[in-house]
Amino acid sequence: MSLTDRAPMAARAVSPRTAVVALAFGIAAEPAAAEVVVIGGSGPGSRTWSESQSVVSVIDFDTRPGFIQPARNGPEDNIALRLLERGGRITSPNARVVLETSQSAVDDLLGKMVDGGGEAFVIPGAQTRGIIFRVDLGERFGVNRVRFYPRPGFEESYLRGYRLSLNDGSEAQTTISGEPKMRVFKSEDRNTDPDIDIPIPLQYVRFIEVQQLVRGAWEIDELEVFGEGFPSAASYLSRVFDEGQAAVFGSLLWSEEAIGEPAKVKATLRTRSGTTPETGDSLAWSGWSPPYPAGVSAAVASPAPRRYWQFHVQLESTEILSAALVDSIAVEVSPALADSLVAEVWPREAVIGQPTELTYWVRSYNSRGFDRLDIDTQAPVEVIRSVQIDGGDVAWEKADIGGGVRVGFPRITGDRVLRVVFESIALRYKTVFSGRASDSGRPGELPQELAAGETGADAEAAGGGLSVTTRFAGDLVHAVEVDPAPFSPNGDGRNDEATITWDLTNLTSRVPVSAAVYDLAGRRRKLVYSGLDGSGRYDRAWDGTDDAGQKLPPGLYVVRVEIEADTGTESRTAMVAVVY
Amino acid sequence: MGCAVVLALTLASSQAHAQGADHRLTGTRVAGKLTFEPRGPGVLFGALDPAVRKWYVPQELYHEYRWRSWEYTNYAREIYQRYVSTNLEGDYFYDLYGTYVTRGWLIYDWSQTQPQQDGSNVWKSAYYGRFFNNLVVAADRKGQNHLAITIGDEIRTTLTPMTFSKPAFDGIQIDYQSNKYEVTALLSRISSPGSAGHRNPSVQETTTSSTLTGGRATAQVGDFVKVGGTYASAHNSTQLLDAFEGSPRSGSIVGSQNAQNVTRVLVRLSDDSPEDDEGGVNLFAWDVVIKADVEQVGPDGELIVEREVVRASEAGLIPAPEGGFQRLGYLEASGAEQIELIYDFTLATYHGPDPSQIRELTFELAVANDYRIEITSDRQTDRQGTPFYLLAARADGNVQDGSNLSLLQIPYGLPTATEIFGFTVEVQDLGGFKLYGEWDRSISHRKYPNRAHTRHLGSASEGDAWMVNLSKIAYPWFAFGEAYSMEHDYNTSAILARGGQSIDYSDKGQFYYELVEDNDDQDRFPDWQRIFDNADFEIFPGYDENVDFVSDFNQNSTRDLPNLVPDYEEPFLRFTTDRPEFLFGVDMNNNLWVDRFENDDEPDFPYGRDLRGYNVYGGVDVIPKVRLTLGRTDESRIAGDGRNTTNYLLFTLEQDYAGLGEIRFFENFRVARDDIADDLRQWSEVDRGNVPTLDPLAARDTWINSTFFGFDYTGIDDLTLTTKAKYDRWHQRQEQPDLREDSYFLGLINKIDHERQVAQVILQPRVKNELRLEAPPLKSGARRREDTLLLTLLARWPLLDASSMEVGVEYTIFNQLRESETAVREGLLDDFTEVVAAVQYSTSPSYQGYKLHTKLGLRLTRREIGGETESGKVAFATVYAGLR
Repeated sequence: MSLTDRAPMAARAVSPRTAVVALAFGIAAEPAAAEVVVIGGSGPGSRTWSESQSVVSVIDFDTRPGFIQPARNGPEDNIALRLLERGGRITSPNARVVLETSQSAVDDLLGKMVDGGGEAFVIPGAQTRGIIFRVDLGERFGVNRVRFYPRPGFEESYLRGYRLSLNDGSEAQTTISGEPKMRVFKSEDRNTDPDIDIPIPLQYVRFIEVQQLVRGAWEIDELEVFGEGFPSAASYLSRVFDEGQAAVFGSLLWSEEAIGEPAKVKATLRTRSGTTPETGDSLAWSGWSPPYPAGVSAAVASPAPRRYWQFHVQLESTEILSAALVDSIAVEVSPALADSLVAEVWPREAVIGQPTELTYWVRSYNSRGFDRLDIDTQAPVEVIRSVQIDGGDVAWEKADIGGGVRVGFPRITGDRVLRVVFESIALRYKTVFSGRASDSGRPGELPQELAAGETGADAEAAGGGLSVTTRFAGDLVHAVEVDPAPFSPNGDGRNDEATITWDLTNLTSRVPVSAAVYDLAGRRRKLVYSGLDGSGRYDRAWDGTDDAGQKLPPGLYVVRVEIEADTGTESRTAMVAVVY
Repeated sequence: MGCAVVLALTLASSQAHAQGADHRLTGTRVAGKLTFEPRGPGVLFGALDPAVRKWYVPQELYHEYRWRSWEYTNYAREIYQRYVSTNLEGDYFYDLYGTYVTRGWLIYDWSQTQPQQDGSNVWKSAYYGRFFNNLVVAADRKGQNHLAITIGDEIRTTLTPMTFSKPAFDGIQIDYQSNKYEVTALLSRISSPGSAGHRNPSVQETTTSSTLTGGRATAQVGDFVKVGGTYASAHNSTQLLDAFEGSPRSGSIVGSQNAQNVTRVLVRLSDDSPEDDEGGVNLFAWDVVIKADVEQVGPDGELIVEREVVRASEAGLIPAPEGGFQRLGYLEASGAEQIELIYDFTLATYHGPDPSQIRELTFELAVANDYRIEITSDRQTDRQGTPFYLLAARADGNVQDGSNLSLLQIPYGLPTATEIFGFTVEVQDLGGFKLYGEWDRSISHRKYPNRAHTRHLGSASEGDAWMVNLSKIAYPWFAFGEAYSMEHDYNTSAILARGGQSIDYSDKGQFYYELVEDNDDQDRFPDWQRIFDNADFEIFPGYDENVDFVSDFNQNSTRDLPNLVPDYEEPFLRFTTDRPEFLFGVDMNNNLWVDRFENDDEPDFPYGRDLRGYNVYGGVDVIPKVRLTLGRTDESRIAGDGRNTTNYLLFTLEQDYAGLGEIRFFENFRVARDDIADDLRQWSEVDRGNVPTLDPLAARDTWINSTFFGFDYTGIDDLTLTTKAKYDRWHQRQEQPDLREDSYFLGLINKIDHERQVAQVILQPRVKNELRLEAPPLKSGARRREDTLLLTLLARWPLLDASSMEVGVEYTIFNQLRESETAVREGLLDDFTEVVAAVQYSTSPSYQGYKLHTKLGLRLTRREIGGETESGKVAFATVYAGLR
């Protein structure tokens, strides 16, 4: 296999939907060691959502098999019933004074209002007035009815006056200190009905507050909250997946759908990885990754190699009758090439756009073997000066790959230090020369990302890291050059084309770029290039023709490279002479 | 050292030069001059006789009553006179030169004495309130020169609309005016301006305070031009500093801020436009430069203090960012994600200067994209001690491609002062043009606390604002143009140092002072609740056209007797009062609310903060009261995201025809692209309060038409015909997922009101029909197709001289105009019919100087809705006392 072959990623295609996943990964039929973990697929081998769960809040696994969605409430579903399970609370700022007991005992009593059982929250004092309790449903639900009543046989012990206040849990209804601003919905000081049933126009509600207005003993057996539609948020936390050994991650693909108005719903998927099964150990576990886009394959952003990993799905909606659904998730996983591959680069500073000789160290720990190193660069690497393993020069091969260079060398196993010296340029304030190692002998396995850190290979390079810093430069377009200039596009086979090169610097995303040729009167004669590009070195050939395909007359022309960045338009020019 | 302002009340002539020896009981004339110097009694009454017996100075009792304690008293001939209070006419007052001022009462006294504990003293005596109702004015004039010193609790004060404008300024205003020049000076101890009452040092005297100094001067240049300059500074100060040690510009770190050293500083980076969920802050690198005064022992054993500059990263303090997503070479926080850097100077790994030695911290952050950076510390907290973030920097615009990568250097400090200065130019009728221009700069000062020092190193951030208005009228043509800019960090708020209290940086109500108030309803109470301001619980700008302090849509609601039913839904009243949706107005910011009814939570600047743009229009008065206007608005957020470009046409016609009535026709057509959210807090009659009202951004790419037609026919005696029609239409030129392609409001009201007297009975039949067809821009808003017919008959007849009886019946038919099987959407009323009958006895006799308007009555209601019948009853006996 040559150095430029694409390392295939394999998977077990397990279901029709998973087949879509597999196709999206570009998975060939070639069997290999990388595994595709599928959650929510319907085919054999895929894991169900319910068996993969750890902590979920208002998630429905059943309505649409293979999907997860927020649990939809029907008119008869009591939303209050499981509020404590999903992180809701019932509190009272003043009941403890009347009940003359501990706060925890009061909390237990308050919980009896939503336990669905026969016990009640009882306020015995006949002289008390003003007791308040507040229910936090744990999420924002579409609510259209609140009901509370005493136990059978205690119908005389009911709230004879009450004030019901609501809060939708939104930021607009929250004080600066985070407290909900309660809005009075109904005030009744002459209530004669023990079974208090209050209809509410359908609206989001998260907090419900009831205040006693009239003196007298009272109790509430059950407080019931009814509504319709979906909660504004639901979440699914997967269990911790154990790969049995340190593993690396490839691509992740997931898909979502919507009920109701797609613009009002959002599903967010994140991953994290760790070295122990205890997710509470913040040193052993990474933070949550950025959200992954739905419907497209994306590289897993959590650090690897790690033995354990986990994902989290957040389903949000701003419209009561709309919800997001998640179909399935597929993640590529394969065993790591080494316990750890640590890399650093030197020097750590460079002049922007100037070729710089860089030394790249990779220290392997307990490597099972790798013989290729891919280094990401912002411009093609023309020169590799040397490759050493443990200080000794070795034979090497170089191949250009998209966005970097691939270096081949004798297979490295165990604890070794690889040193590669090459020439490259830095085009961003922090240009990261990230890299990954792979083993050509195991083409089905995923490459392993290098971790930035101290290799200890060279005292001068102490500090560890894969980024090279440049000085702050305000310019986004650099080094516009035309070669050869002048050139003679006369079809004689010599200097018939000119190459226009330019650098784009400090961009973190792609922006509209154009390269055009103008005559000295300022008229555009040829649009050489127009497209979207990020930071990098670019070149385009120009054959001396104008937009109509006619050869331009001899003379001086101006090449102008222009970008439309969010901070404004920026351009650089170079002169070129056309001669015949 | 300090300044003193003392106002004393005199009972004698107000002429200062009239004060003299005749007005005082003490003092001595020596060689024709009055002196207060104690000279001894001389040979008076034998004071210098060398006698052993005790000699008593003839003092008050002798001078007042000719009484000497060793002389026999006999009141047979001259009867006894009782004691008269020595301060019946007040106390004696002297100025700082010792010159006798007057005999009278202390009214107002403000003094600042340094260095002295409790050296700031403001006292408004009880007489200030009792005699003068919290306002005293000392005015003087000579020729064209006028001077007035106004001291009051509620002074309507404006320097310029962008620098200082308050409906109730509590302090001292000194004004001078001549034909060409105007000068104003403002002074106030804003942290505790005091209230009238008896002397209470614990309230009046303080060591730390916040002071406002400000002023404005204008000069007429030539015949047309007036130029002006404005300055205002609200700064914290402590009376423990020596004179000239503090700064009235940048303020001082006060005691509560300096009680402990800063040991922990937190930096939070987030997405400045989180709503788009992308392109948030990119953090490439972070560090902090520490400047410290480190004490060292010199070669001769002397103590040397050297300024040391170190980087936290070199001193073992490299915080691991919390939050954010790792990208290649940087951290990103988009949407709700945040990155937090915690610099803890007590960590064991930190080996830099001790927190007690640190004089300045400057954060260096390499950031890009749409960043928002806030900083707090363990000295910048709320009441519970939780660090409270204050904004330190924001990115301009909504950059998402990294092209604004920059190294920010942000010094950290606690707020000590807010300073504003600016200039104005006014041109009146120069070639027919009028011009007003203003440019202002606000400077927010901060200083880094260190309890070992009284002088602290400071930094400042600036924000600029400017506006230009230019107009010309050349009848029938007219033109107007306005350009404006106000940066997001243009600041007119100051944080108050209130005595020894720890500042709660989160509590705007207790610790913030506003140089420009939010007072959208233009009443005497600022809309937001700040300390020492009276709360304004009812804010309904534009809804009180009759200026009776009550919303025109709920005239029968008072503070004593709140009424939660708007008049347009209340029996009998609903004939007269139409819904506010039927009012026409201009909505320049395309947020669905007529601009004159808008209430926000921002200072009342002429233009919104963080906006830059222009508006121009021109037009012609076709004939008197018929006007055609064409214009364009183009404005953008400076730091935030959004732009509003609106082209508009406005046609107005208002004509009175004698014997016929009045016609009004308004047409406003505009094409708008507006994604600037102008959120409001609008008045709700049902809530009796202001509720958050979000701008749905309904004009993202939209054409909008608003037409109003009104006709009041008065051609027949005792008969009034009123027609009112309004048609609004919003058409989305591009599909918007949450907006209807076509939304509209069509309202039509027809009213007939007739009054006829039959014998002693005045009969008043009335008919009103209201048609309302509505599809709101948001798809989630309910469509309405409603028709309401009101048939009313009122009869009124006199009973006695001041009494009458009134009977009324109102029949209402409400129809949803739907097909019979179509369900009524949640939140809308079902069809109903309603009969309301009422009887009222009224009498208005005079009683103890008042007119007693007494109403006794009964109102019965019966409504049939959804196949069910509801009935209600209201019986009332109400007495109002009025002067007329």
